Amino acid sequence: MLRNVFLKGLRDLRRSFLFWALGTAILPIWLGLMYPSVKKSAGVMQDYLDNMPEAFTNMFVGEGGDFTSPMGFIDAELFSFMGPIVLIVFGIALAVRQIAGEEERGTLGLLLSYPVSRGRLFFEKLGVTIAGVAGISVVTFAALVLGVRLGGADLGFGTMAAAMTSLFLLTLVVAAIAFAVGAATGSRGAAMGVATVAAAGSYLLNALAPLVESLEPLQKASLFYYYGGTQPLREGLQAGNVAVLLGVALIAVAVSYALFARRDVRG
Amino acid sequence: MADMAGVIETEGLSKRYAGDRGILGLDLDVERGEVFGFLGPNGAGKTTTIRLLLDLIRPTAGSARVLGLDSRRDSVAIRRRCGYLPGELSLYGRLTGEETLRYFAGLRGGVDWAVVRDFAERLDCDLTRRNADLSSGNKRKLGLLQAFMHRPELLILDEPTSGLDPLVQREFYGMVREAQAAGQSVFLSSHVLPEVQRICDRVAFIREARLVAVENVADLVGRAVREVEVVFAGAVSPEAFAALPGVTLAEENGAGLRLTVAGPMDALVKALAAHEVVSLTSREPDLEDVFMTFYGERSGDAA
Repeated sequence: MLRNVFLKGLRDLRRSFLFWALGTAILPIWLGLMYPSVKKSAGVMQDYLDNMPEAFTNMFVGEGGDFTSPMGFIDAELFSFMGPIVLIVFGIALAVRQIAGEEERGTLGLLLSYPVSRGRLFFEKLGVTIAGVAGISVVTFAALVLGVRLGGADLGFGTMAAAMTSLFLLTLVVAAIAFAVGAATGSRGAAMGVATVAAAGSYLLNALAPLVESLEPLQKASLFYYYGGTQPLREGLQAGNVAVLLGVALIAVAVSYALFARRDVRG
Repeated sequence: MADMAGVIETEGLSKRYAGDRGILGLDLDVERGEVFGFLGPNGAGKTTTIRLLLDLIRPTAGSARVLGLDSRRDSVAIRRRCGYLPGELSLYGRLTGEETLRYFAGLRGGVDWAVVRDFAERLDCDLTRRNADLSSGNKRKLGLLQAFMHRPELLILDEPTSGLDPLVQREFYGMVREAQAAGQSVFLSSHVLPEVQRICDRVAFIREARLVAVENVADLVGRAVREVEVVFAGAVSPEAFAALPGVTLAEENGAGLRLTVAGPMDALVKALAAHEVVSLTSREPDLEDVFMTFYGERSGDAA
């Protein structure tokens, strides 16, 4: 596990990944098990939601969401808010540890005194980030499938896979932004800051744009818009959205690589 | 032809930081098989130069060739053939010494592990402990080991003996001599003159980002500068000593004198013998005094 930068990166991730995986898996399983009782009290729940302000339901349930259908329930409870939060926090933490973290710890200089080109280092570290985000997505998906099976909610495998792919891509973009800023600046703080603003800003923009007229044209600048907003299960996976998310990630990585290859390295 | 070229050749190599710090217009020529000392006070530009040679930072002007290769374009090839010890060494805290070296060896495509074991024994390195639990001296030993373990053509060592205890320092000097005997070249920075005098063939003096002089160490020894402190039983006239060849009066307080002696001590010792001496101490002067004595008067035209 110590043969190259990529494998060492995975090795470093072992322990924290285990804890993250356990923590992340709890929510989808619990939601699956909860679903039968939510369905039973469907009327009460819907009344409750109907009395909420529109901004609130927009943010946490989705526009015109049917909270008591399997799709509406899992969209609202997992995909609209909690899922993205947990995965994005994981993705940012992992991404900023790669180049910026190694530089701040002071080990990057010694590492780059070895016959490892800047490019190879950059892409192996990016590979660790992608592998980590993919890993936590697979765990989340497995937990969701298990929870839905256990609770008996009527939700197709393909539908869940499509929504999960959207969540994976959303997390990947934010992680790629964090990685890119970290590699370009060598600062974990800057990387975390920019990625957090991109994620939180996207979320708020997408949720509030339909309600605030002046924001409406800006909705397409939100990453969450291409994720399926608050209802990726109902929206499904769309080629155009996938292309936008991957495109943003690619641009961030390409610009970052050009800057990292040229700049001075500390430590 | 490449084999005939120097191991390090720089032409006007510069890295300008704010306030004229860094290194400016460095022309240096280190020959193959040489142990070359890079001497200067902290902040003079030693580390900056080393980091330029390894392409960790990029010059603002000038260029460098290492092992006959361009330091920018052929950096990976250069780094394959060099071993480097950073001045400020950080290691992966969670790895043990052995895991650290396995990782680094892997990045070099494998290293003869018998050599690693041999160096570990000589430096008394415990490879089973986690780096986070090592003292700074033990970390430095691991740092030396990773620089030497693949028997590189060129060793670039930034303040290699700082933080080492005297016993390990001596072992390190032995390792440098053996490396030289095996045809390896060594470029090391230091801020202590005696150390450089002990192991280097030539030494470059740098101060305030500029190269002051390059000297053969053999020539330096004849011009060695020492500081002598004498305490007399009674009052003496300091002028008599200051008039001796090579002796300058640095300080006078009551019955004590502080003198700087350049070159042989003989005249001073014989003059002192005429008085009743209570105590006599001699020590190596600090680097600033050396600069003042060697280059103080011609600092204007030295560069």
